[in-house]
Amino acid sequence: MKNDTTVILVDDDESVRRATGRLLRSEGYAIRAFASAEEFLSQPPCGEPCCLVLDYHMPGLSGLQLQEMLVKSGRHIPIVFITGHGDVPLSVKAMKQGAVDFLSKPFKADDLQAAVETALKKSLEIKKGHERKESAARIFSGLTPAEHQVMRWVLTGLLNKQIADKLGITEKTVKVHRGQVMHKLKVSSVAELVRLAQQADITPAKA
Amino acid sequence: MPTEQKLNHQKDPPKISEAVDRRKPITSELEVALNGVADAVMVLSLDLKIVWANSAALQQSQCALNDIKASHCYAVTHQFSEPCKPPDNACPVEQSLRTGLSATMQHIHTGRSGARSHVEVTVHPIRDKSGEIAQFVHISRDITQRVEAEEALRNETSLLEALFDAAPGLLYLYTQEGKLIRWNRQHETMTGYSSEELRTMSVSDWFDGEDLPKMVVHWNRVFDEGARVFVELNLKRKDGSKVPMLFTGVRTTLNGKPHLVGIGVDIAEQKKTEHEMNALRNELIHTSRATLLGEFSAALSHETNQPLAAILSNAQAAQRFLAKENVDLEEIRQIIADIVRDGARAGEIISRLRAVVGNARPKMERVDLKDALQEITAFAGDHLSLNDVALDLQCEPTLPALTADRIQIQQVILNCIMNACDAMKDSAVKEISITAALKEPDRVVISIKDTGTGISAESKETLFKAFYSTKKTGMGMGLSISRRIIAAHNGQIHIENRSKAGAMVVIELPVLGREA
Repeated sequence: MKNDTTVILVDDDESVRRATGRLLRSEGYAIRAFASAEEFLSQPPCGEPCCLVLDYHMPGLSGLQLQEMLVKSGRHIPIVFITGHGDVPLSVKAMKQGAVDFLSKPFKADDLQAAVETALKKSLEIKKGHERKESAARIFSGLTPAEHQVMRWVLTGLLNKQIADKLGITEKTVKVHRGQVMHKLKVSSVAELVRLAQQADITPAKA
Repeated sequence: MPTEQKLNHQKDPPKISEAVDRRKPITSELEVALNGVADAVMVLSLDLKIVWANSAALQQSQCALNDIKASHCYAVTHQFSEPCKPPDNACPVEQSLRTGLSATMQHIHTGRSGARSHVEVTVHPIRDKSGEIAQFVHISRDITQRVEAEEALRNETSLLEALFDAAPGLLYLYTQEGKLIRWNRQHETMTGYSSEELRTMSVSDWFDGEDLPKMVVHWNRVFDEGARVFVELNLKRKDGSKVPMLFTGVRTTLNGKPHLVGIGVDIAEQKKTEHEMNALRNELIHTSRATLLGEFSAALSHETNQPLAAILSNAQAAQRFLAKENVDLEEIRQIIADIVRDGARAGEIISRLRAVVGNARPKMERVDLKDALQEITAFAGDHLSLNDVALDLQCEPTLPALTADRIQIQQVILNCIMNACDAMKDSAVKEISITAALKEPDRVVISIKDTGTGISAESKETLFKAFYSTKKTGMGMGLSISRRIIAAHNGQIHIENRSKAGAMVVIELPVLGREA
């Protein structure tokens, strides 16, 4: 998982930043290091799967504040916190906000590696989910508005005759649109159609 | 022998003629003499009539002789209509007639104006040639002043007695020889001794131990210097129990001899409150010390965690780099340089914090060691008595003054005393002995010996290290700081076990100390 992934390190202490970065590099990770949360935010987001190794106590924006900002803006980057002294209430809050782990300095290399590995896996999953959704959405975009409308009724499980009644069109027209939908989406059953629609976040029509 | 005669003044009065016949004339010389007497003198007939009266008698009754002649004596002196009767006023004439002897008694006379006076009446019988009582001489002496003075004295005395017994503390009067001669009721209830027992007791019976010589010193000051003394001593009761009391003593002279009078007040409650306050204060000091330690360790861990984290990460990174096939030696060189730098940084942080906690430079001044030791042992007095520890301080009289930081040296001694008390918690004998002596012309040695548990061989090595403690609640700073203080004075401190039981701390200090 080390290929095409990046570990982003944010710590104001230069010694710690250098040493931690070096440790992660020795384990084969690509590293980008920043001395503050502000410096990290000023850079364009990374495209590849990535995670944050974030110092909790920093001048300016604290680690927890950065986490809050990322959650609000929808940038789902998994975070591993590192802190000078273990603080239970802080760690609880960080974990509730979705942190992967909370490590006290000085930490063991194995603990850091395990936490980073978990975080990167999570990032990869998030990225895959995004990609699936995007490609599914692309497929659905080939449908005409009429076909899209019929497709959403098909998702409800109604028969062609019932759909025709709902839409005030002939049963035959419904049948033609339905055939086009199955053809364009390259699916052979309603079950397959439902799965594909779910990936693209398309919901059934409402009666 | 005089014949028994019967006085029968009303029912069967003697014949006046007889009385007149028996009357003896008063010569003019006698009259002059009697008129010069301050007492009231009257001559009475057998039937209690006034035959003659001197000037004082006339003055007392506010009458002329002719007015009262042949009047009854009781009418003139008492304003009575009949003779005096027991029980209030027995008649002395009657008694004299009955016994044939002189009679004396006290009466209250009432003048014509109603004025009352206390009198002592003496009646002497006058006999005729045949030896029969013919007349009486009635002498009344005014003793009003004396009676009133006596009554005032009686009132005063009973008031004093009441006050004496009502007083909450002990009241006592001792002779110079120490014999207890007066005391109040409280003295009996408080000491448990009866009045009979107290009568035989002496001042030294109340005290023992070090209280006895202390009492003697104050006793002598009262008699030798006339000092008014206040002294706290433990009084031993009959049942053997002791009660802390504050005694006062003042010299007073009774019957030409010096005595000591004073009061004793029970101060057990006060002492108890004092102890409680001290315990509270100690707890407070301990709490603030513990809080300081908490802050200290929080600061220490926060400050040192960063370099430690960096060192650990760097070292682990180096391990991983070294495990690879192509070792990048430049990378390794940088890692080691970083480790060295962070190690130095951590050490710096620790020594900076240590400086804050207890490495202040000594403030050198001239120190009278004996005085400084006495002060600090007195300061520790409450702690010692709370722990039942006896402390003995012996200073060589020829001790020279030191150049030292008085407060720091006292801190070290106090720390040793506290440690000794802790070490003797379970000892049967709890004694601290402090001696200060000149070892060489320019070096003094202070030794603090206790009768506690002593020190184990393994703790002897680490005893002086910071954060090492054999106590559950100790912070392990005492001896470490003590050693630093003594070292700053160019002195030495070490601890050893005594041959029998307990430990001994030996502190050597140069007389001149280190220049500040």
